[in-house]
Amino acid sequence: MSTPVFTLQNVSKTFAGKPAVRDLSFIVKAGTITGFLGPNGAGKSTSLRIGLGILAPDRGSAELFGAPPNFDVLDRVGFLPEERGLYRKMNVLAAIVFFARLKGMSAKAARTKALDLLKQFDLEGVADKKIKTLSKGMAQKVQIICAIVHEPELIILDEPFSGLDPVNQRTLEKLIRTLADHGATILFSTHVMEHAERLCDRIVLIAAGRKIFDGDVPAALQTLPRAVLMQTGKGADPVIALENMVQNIAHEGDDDKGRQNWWVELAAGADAQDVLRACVEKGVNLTAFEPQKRHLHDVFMHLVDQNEDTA
Amino acid sequence: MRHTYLIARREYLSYVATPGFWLSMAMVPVFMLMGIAVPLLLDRSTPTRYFSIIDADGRYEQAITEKLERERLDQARTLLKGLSAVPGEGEQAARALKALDGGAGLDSIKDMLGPQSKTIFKAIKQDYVLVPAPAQTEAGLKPYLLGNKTVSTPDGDHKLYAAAFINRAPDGKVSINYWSTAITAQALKDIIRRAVRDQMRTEAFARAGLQTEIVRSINSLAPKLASLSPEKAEGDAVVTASDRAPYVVAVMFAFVLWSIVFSVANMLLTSTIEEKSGKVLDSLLCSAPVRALLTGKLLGVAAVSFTLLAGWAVAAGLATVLGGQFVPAGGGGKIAAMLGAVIDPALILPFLGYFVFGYLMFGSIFLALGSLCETLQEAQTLMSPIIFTLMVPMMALVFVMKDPGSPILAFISWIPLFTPFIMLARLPSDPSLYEIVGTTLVMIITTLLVLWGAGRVFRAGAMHGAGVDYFKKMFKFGKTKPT
Repeated sequence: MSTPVFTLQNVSKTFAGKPAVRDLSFIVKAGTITGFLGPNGAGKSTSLRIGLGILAPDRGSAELFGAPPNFDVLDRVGFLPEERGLYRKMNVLAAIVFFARLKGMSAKAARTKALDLLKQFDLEGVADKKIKTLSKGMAQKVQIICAIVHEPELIILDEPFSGLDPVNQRTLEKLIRTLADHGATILFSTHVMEHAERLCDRIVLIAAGRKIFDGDVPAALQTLPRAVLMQTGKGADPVIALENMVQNIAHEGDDDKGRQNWWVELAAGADAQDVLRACVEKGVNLTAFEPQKRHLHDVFMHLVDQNEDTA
Repeated sequence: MRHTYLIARREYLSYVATPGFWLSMAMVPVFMLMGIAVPLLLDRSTPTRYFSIIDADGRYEQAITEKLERERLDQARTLLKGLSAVPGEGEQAARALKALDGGAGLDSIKDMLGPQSKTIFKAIKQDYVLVPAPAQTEAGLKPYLLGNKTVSTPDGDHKLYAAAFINRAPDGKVSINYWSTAITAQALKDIIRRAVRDQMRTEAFARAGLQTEIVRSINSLAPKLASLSPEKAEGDAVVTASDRAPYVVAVMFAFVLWSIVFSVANMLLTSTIEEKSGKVLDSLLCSAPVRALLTGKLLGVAAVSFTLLAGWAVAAGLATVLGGQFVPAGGGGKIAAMLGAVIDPALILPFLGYFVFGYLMFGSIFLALGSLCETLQEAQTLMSPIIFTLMVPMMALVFVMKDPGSPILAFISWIPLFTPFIMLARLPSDPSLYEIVGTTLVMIITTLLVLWGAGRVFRAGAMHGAGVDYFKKMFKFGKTKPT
C-alpha cells in the first residue's frame, strides 16, 4: 500500500479558547480527488493550514508525503488559499513566475509553463497586464495558475469555486479532472456539494471541527434512506399500507384538488418497487409515484443536522 | 536561501521599478542643489534699490555713503582673501588685497586683477544706491515710495525703495524715521542706523577731545584669535577647515542615516500592510518559510536603500567633478576639506555598520507592526510611539555640533535605538574605546532581541491573523496568550 500524500492524525486546534478542529484524522491517497466538505466555520481552512504546516496543531500531527510538512515536501504541493490575493502592482506573468520559482522551478521553465497555462485559461492577452487591472474572476484564475504552475503532485484548493461564474466553475472542474488524469492528487474544500458529487472519488465531511463522514460518494449516499415522493387521491391514507417497509412517512400537504403529497423514506432493505407493489395490492389510490435520487447535498444536510443533534 | 533570495529580489524590484523610487533618488541631489543655488540666485536676482536721506543737519548722509562703500570693500576683501589662497591663481588677488588694505579704492584694483575682476565686481554689486531726495517732506515723498512717481537714477527711472528722515534734537539726541513699503526688510535699516550711530560716537569722542584718528585706531582694536588643537602636531596646531570638516560631516551623515532608516523602514511597513490586506501572505506562507519572508523583505529593502545611497554618492561625485570649476572663490579649500571627510573610511565604515544595525532594528519593528495591520490607519495607532522615539536622536543631533562631549549625549548614546545616530555623529570627537565597544555591543544584542521579537510578532500577524490588539493582549499578563 502506497504512503498517503496527506495525513492528519488526531489533530486539534483551539483559537482563544474556542475549538476550531477536534481530534480530526483523515488521509488522502495518491491519485485521488478528495472533497473536504463542511459548512462555513467548520474548520476546513484551519485543518488544511495545519496539514501544510502553516499552523501548528495543539495536538496531533500532520504529514505530507509521509514526512512532517517542510519546504522540501511543500515544493511538491500547490496550494490555493481561501484568503486569495496577489501583488496588485505586479504583472500577471511576473507573479506566476515568482510563485513558480519559490517552488523551485527555473526562471525559463516557469515562464514557459506560465505562458502555456495562461493560454489554457484564455488569459494569454493579459500576461503583461498588472493584476490590479484584472476582473475578480480573471485574478482568481491567475491565482489558480500560481498554485499549479510548478506541476505539483498534491494540489490543495481551499474553496476554489467561490467567486467564479458558472462558466469558469465548469472550466475549473475540467481542469481538476485533467490534473487528476495526469496523476496529481487533488484535495479541495467546498461547501457546494454539486462540485464534490461530480468530481470526488472520496469525501471527508466535517462539522464544528469534527469529522462526521469519510468515504466515497456512493457510501455517503447510502447514509440516507431511499425515498419516494407519492401522491394519493383525496382521503387515501398510505400509512397503514406501507407500515413495514418505511421508516418515515410524512404528509407534505395537499394540492388544489385535494390530492395528498407524501414523502416516504424506505426501511433498510426495501426498495421503491416493493412500495409501489404494496400500494397497488392494498388499494391505495396513487396519482403519482416518483422514486427520489439522493444527492450529496441531502447527505450533507442530514449529517450536519445529525451532528448538531448529538453535539 | 532560494526563498530568501527570491523574496528579496521581488521586494527590491517592486521598488526600483517604480517612478517613485527614481523620484526619491533624484530628490535629494535636487534639493541639495536647490539649497545651494536658490540663495545664490535670490542674491543675484535682487535688484539694486534706490533710497534717499533727508538729513536736516547734513552731517549723516556722508557717513551713510561711506558705510555703503566700506561694506563693498569688506565684501571685496573677503573674496580676494579666498581667491588668494587658491594655489597658482592667487598671486594677482593677493596683490590686489594688499593694495585694498593699503587704502586703494575698488576702481584702482580692477586693473590689477585682470580677467578675475569680472567675477569679483559681479559678486560685490551695489544693493543700495543713495539718490537725491525728490521731495523734502513725508507727504511729498509718499507718491515716490508707493511707486506712483519715479526717481531719476544713473540706471534710469525707478521707484524709491526707502527714505530716511534724520532729525537731531537740540539736546543732541538723534531720531530716524524710516519710510518704506518693504516693512519686513531689515538690511538697509541696519546700515543707516549703524552709520548714524558710528557718526554720533565719533562726534561725541571729538567733543570729549579725542582726535578722529585716535578714535578710529581705538575702534579697530581687536584680539587676533587663533584656534589651536593639542591633538595636532607641534608647530601645526592651528585648527583648519580640514580639522573641523569631520565633525560637520559626521553630523550630516547621522542626519542622512536617520532619514534613510526612517524612509526604508516605512517602505517595509507599507509593503507588509499591502501583503496582509491583499491576502498575499497565505500564498507566500505555503511557498516560503516565515524566516525567509522576514529576512527576504529586510534584505530587499536594504538593497533598495544601498541603491539610493549609491545613486546619491554618484550624484555627489559628478557634482564635485563637474561643479569644481564653478566653486566660488575661497570656497575651494572648505569644499575640499568636506569631501576629504566624506570619503574618509573612518566615517564611511561606521556609517555602513550603524546603517545595518539601525535599519535592522527599526526595519524589523516596522515590519512586525505592518504584519498586524490591514490598513495604514491601523498602523498609525502603533506607529506614534515609534515616531516619537525616532524624533529624540534627531533633536539630539542638533546639540552634537555644539557640544559633542555633553554628558546627556553620552548617556543617550547607550540607548540602543539611538546609538547608530548619536555615536556616528560623536565619532570625530573621539569617544572612549569603552563607550564605542560598549554601545556597539548593547546595540548588537538589542538588534538580535528586536529581530527575535519581530519574528514572533510577524509570525502572529502573518500566520495567525493577529491584529492591532496583539500588544493589548500580550500585556494582559496571564489572562490571554496572544495567538
